[in-house]
Amino acid sequence: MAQTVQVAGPAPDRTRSGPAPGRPRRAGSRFRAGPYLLIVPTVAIIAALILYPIGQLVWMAFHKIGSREARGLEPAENVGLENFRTVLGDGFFWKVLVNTVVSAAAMVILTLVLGTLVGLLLQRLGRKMSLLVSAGALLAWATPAISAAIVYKWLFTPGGGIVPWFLNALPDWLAGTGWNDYNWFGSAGTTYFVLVLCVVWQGFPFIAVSVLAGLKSVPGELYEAARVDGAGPWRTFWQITFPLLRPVFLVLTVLSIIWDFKIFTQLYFLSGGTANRDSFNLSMYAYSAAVAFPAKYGLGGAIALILTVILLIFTGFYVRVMVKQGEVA
Amino acid sequence: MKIAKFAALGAALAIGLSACGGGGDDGKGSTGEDPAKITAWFMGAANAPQDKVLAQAKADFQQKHPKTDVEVVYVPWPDATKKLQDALNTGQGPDVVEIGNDQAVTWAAQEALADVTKQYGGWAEGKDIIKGSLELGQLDGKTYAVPWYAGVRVVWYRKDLFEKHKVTPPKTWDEMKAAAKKLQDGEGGDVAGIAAPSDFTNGFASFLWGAGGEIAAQEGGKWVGKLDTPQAKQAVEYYTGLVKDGVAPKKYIGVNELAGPQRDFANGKVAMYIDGAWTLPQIEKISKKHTSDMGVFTIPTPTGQIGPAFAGGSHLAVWRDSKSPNVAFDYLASVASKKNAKAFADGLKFFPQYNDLLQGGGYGSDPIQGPAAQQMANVKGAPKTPNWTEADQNKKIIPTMLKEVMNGTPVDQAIAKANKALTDTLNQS
Repeated sequence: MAQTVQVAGPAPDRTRSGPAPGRPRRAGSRFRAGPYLLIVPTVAIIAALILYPIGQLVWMAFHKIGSREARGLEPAENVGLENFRTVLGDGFFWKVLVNTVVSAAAMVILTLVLGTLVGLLLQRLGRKMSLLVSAGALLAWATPAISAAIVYKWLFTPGGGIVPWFLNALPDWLAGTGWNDYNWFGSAGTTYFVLVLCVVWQGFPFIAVSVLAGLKSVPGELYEAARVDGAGPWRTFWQITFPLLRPVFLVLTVLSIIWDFKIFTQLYFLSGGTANRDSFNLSMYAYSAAVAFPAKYGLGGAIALILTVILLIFTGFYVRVMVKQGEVA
Repeated sequence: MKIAKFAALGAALAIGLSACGGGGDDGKGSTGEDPAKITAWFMGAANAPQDKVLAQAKADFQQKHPKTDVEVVYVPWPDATKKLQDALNTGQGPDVVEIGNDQAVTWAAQEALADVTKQYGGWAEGKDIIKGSLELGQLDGKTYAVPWYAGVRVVWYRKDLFEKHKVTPPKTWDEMKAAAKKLQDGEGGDVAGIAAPSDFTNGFASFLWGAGGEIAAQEGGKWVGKLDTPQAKQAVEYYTGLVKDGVAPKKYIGVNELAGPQRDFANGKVAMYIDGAWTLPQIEKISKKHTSDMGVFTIPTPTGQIGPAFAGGSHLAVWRDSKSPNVAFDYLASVASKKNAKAFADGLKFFPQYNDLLQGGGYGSDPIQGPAAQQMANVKGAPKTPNWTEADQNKKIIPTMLKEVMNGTPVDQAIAKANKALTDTLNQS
């Protein structure tokens, strides 16, 4: 819609609102308290629940904080950039960053592809089938992260899970042997394989429903015209659906990146707590540094702040996209 | 633009960032009157023998403090550190707490434990406590924790399977590996020969020491990692070889002895596994099907002697935030009294920490305590520095090394990396 609107929309709009140059000036010249009062409760809640903890996080990242300091028995020592030097100077951080980036990329791509395909499917299904499929998909979305992690851990449990059982049941020339003793959580690569499956499974319904909502707003005549001109489904998607839904895809991509960068619950459960450091991502690394014994909240804060900054970059990008779309619509 | 609004809703979720809130609560200290209740935290799972001993200890305690009730809380071992850390940060802690004897000093250094030097001095039975064990709870000449029990790790095995396949308890490494293979093959692959979990420093240490190696040593005031010695390499190769040569399952890569091996042994899926001699109540909790066929032997060495093992065990301490430290110590002394400590140790297959009880306890004749007592005579500890917790619990240096080798990393490469990390970590300030 964005592009059609962009081409056709603004021109008549401007002519209609053009002859009233006094209106915007009048609105801007007088301060109106109403809107600000209305937004105060929201801002207060956000400040208390998000801004204050972020402020604490930033403060902690530049201090040395153990249990005694956290309790106020001793003042926290300002260590400047020491925490960041410790984190970034350790080769381990870069391994963790690679884990985070590669896994997030895989999750984002797979979620978007699968979500879009299901969205397209939902559009083509009849009313009842569409309801059934979307209800089923949304169940996956509504499943709490920890429940999903438990289910996936069980699916892949050596000896008892359904996946080893299935792979064993397949003929050996197809799937090989020894699956009963194969440890999916024994190395970072296979742990992330299960993690990506789990996260994609939970993430695609949101994409599917969003894409479907976008598809519903595309005028049917465009598809009719494409069909008349002899375009196949592939061409129709790339030449009509994708360009029209580009803003939707952009928003969904940025959102998925933000979500998948900070996966914690599922990884914590699948990899068995903080014991397997080779499969850490940034969230796990920050957590394990903070809850270590003795506690190092400052170090954990520094790692969390690095993650936060990465996420803020994507969030900033997201906000820009949103503002642009707001201008367009 | 409906979609934009819809997505905007998600934006709020997207920027929900996690952060920790620091609690600021000052410990109010008021000693004097008997409180209505004191709380005691014990580690591990609740079990009948322990409940019985603690009921007796409570009765003994209430003879002196009839108005005070005792609330017992069990904290699973894997959660212990986090739970205590939370208690330390928030001030919402217990009065009496059980603490792993290798961590007592670290908690004392964090000012989590009350100085009980005076109360300990006034406790008649306390003078018979084993000196070396007591020192594990002392820091800068003050006593913070009192020994309660100690134990060692041994190899648990299935006597019925050993008899069926004509295997005798092995004395050497080669015999143990051969036994594992024979049992596994004999059972047609339904039962694994042995369990060799990678997240198991305290078990692996026996192999390391048995080969004549060390974890680290102090040289000229600095710690030097000793994982790159030929003896250590031999131990790494043997332990990981159990997995690589298929006599121990791969599914224990990345887990500890409790998260798999113990359950599978209880359920009859593993013929041998390494754990504390005290572990029978936990096994019974999982399944009693095979418990009558279980036995133990000491962890083998390459040449067949009894090698050193990790000394495990717990101390009891008064939490620093306790509002009634004197009453709390009286409860501590009731639990750790000779009578109750012996009942506890006998019930759970530990060893009491009193010189007279240990010598006259008749442990040599017990089928499980006997081998453990032999092992108990030759125990070692981790490198004595607060940084050991960082190296082992936080950085998992040895578990990561074992895991890497089991997953195919060349031994020398994994050892070199681990040894450097170990030296760096033990020397950090």
